[in-house]
Amino acid sequence: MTIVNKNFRNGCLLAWMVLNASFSVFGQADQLSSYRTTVTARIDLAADQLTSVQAETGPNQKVKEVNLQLINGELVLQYELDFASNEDYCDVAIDVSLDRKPLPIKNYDLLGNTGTQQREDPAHKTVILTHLLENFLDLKGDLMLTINAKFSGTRILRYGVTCDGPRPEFTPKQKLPYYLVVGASAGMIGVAQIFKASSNQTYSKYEHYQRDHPEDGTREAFDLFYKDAQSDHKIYWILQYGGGAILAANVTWFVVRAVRNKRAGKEYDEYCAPAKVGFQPYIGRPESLTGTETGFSLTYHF
Amino acid sequence: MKPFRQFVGILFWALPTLGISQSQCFKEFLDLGIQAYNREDFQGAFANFRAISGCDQLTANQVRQMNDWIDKANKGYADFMTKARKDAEDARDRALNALDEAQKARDEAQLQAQISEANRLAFIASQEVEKGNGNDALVLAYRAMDLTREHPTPSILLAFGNAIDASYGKTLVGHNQDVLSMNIAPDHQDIITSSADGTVKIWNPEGAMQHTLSGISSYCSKVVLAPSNNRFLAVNEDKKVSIYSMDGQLVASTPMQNEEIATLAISHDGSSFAAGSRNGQASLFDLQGHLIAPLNGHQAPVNAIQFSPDDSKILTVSADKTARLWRRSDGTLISALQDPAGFIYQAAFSPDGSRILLASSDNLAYLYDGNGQLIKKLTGHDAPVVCAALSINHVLLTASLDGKVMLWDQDGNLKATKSAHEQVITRAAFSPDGNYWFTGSGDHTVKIWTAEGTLKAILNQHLGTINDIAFSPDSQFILTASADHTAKLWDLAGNLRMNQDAFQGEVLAAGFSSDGTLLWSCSADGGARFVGNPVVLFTQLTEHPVLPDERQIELYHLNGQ
Repeated sequence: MTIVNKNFRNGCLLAWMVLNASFSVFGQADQLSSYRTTVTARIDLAADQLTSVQAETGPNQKVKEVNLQLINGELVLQYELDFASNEDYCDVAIDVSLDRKPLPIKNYDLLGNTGTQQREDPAHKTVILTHLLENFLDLKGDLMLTINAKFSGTRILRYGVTCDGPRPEFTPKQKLPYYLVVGASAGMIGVAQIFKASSNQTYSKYEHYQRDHPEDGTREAFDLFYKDAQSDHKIYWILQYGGGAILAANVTWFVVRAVRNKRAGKEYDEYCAPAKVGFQPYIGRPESLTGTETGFSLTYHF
Repeated sequence: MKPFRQFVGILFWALPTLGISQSQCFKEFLDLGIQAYNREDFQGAFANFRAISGCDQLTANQVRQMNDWIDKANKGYADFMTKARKDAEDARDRALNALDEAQKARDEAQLQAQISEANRLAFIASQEVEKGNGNDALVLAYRAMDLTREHPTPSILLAFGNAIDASYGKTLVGHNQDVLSMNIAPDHQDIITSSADGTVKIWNPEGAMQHTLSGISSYCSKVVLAPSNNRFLAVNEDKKVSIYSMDGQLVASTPMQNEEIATLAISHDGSSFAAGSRNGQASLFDLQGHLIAPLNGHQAPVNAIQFSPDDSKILTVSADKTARLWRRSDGTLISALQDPAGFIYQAAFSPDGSRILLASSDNLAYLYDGNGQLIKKLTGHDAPVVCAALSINHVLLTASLDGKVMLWDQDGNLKATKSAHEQVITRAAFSPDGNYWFTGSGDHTVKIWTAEGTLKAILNQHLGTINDIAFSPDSQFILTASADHTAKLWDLAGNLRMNQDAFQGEVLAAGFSSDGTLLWSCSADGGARFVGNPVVLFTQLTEHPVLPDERQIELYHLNGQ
């Protein structure tokens, strides 16, 4: 039983591998994953104090070994990036807030490892937030730094979609052969029932003559009925199980192909991001708000 | 009076013939005289009293009475005449005053009519500015100014300033990130901007871009003009300081530093400069980029460098909470100013170089002499001291995050304490002439104070954080740059004289040319702008009315020429 099960499992695995192998594999550079890691602390810049430093890194975080220090009036943030095998680079951006209000840190006041970090670079990264004394004077309160890391690299496309072509669909034209096979196999099964009935009828005759004329010298005639019944039964069996097997295989292949097309379509949607019909309204603050105006902006993305 | 005198004369001569007794004669004339005296008919009284002398056998007492009454009558008459003359003079004065009042009323009415007309013109000029018709706005606003030359109203002053900005202002378009600084050459022929996009651009006076220098550090984007040598300095991305000519040609570079260069300063005589690095090293170079002397000793980034007014010393300020004073000639350390226990927010020499003042985050300010010897710790602030300033009049100013300002004499004796703002003070400085000082606060206001600490004006029209404040070289104006996308020019009375609102991003810095005739501002939207000082331009337009188009003819007419 164990052997049978193992063989069955191996067979399924093989079938899955064959199935997967039938899908083309292409590689293309794209953003693969993004992570937000926060580090919080209590700061009193004028007093040169940074306390209660706490980094929040989950079990699946790829931004690791996060640490924050206050050195010479500058915040020094350290972290490491954990690249997967197919990830080539990571775009790192730092957001800073004090008492839950964003701090306007200019890019040119950040020194070190922000922006694009290559896989080949040393894993240990350092970002220095400079000019804090000059720009903020009174930096006191609950500080939160957020590391936004977006990993990009070679996307493994399981279903081999290409954005140049149309979205993968299981069209009625493609489904037609399957329907024809279903019809043919159903026909085979139907014909098998005819042969089954004929076989049963002939065999009944054989049984009837054998019961009624056990000593009759016409045994050859009885055997002829038996042979006919045997022949019909054989044809029935072939048509019945052959048609059933074809039907089962056809349905299986139909389902597999339908699933594959559905997944390919989903991959196409995710990767190629085709223009969608309709619009996405977005309500937010006006971009050029000076502080004197109030209200909101309504933006439509077509 | 004349008939009456004749009557009395007749009576005088007729008395003896009337047979009146002598005592009765005296009494009759005396009574008549007294009655006349009481009526203030002093001439009649005098005549009656004199008539007594015609009575016979007057006693000595009667003669004395007569003379007394004659004297009284004379005096009464004199007083009466004096009073009459005074009344006449008063009446004349009242008439003259009434005439003056009438003339004043007429002048006031004329002035009011002029102001009304000028306000109308200023209003239309403002509308023309809104429409983008700068030239029309300038003609109207100039006329409004001309009508109210002695008494321009705030709205007229603002309309003229805005018209000047609309008509004469030049916008420098070319940077694609924050413009962080602008320098205008003393001859106004070259304007240099530096940006976070890693470039320095050189522009001509018409606002056309002439040269672009790339590879400039965005971390230290400071560009320093050499005062006389037609050169400027900029920090390169490759940790060098480069010396450029005004046509953008590289003249020389310093050797590469080990760390990012954090700050840069040039001597007042323009012959040498100093650069401070993030690794605590500072170096003194000549204008050919040759190292004169290393200034080593700081343990943390050097954040600021200053040359003393006489260029004999160099002050470096570091994040290691110390300042160091160096001899410029050979780079030797004169004194390490290690007293502060906190970060040094600001350090400054006095204009005569005899004092050094440090503002520290340990709530103290530290006063040193010109050789770096501590004179006094200035106590009294209850929060980190973030501003330190010294005036030409030997007054010291310290300002702290709790909004308090303290004024001291040059020996560190407290002169005055002011609660200047409810919120943090971010900037404070003396005017070049030492007569005023300003405070800028996180409450989006700027306050102007007299040197003695009397509040003179509150500049409260900004709606965002104030990023920069500058006094004009002549101490007559203040320019403010704000996150509300505007730069504003103010006079010391608090009148808004120009409102630059053409930027799409916050205004990061603003200032004046060295002669005060141009003012500039630069923005986070990648733009920068410069324009003439409205007061200077008004004078120029009045003396030499040259406007951008043929409307100068109209201005000639307006000027009555």
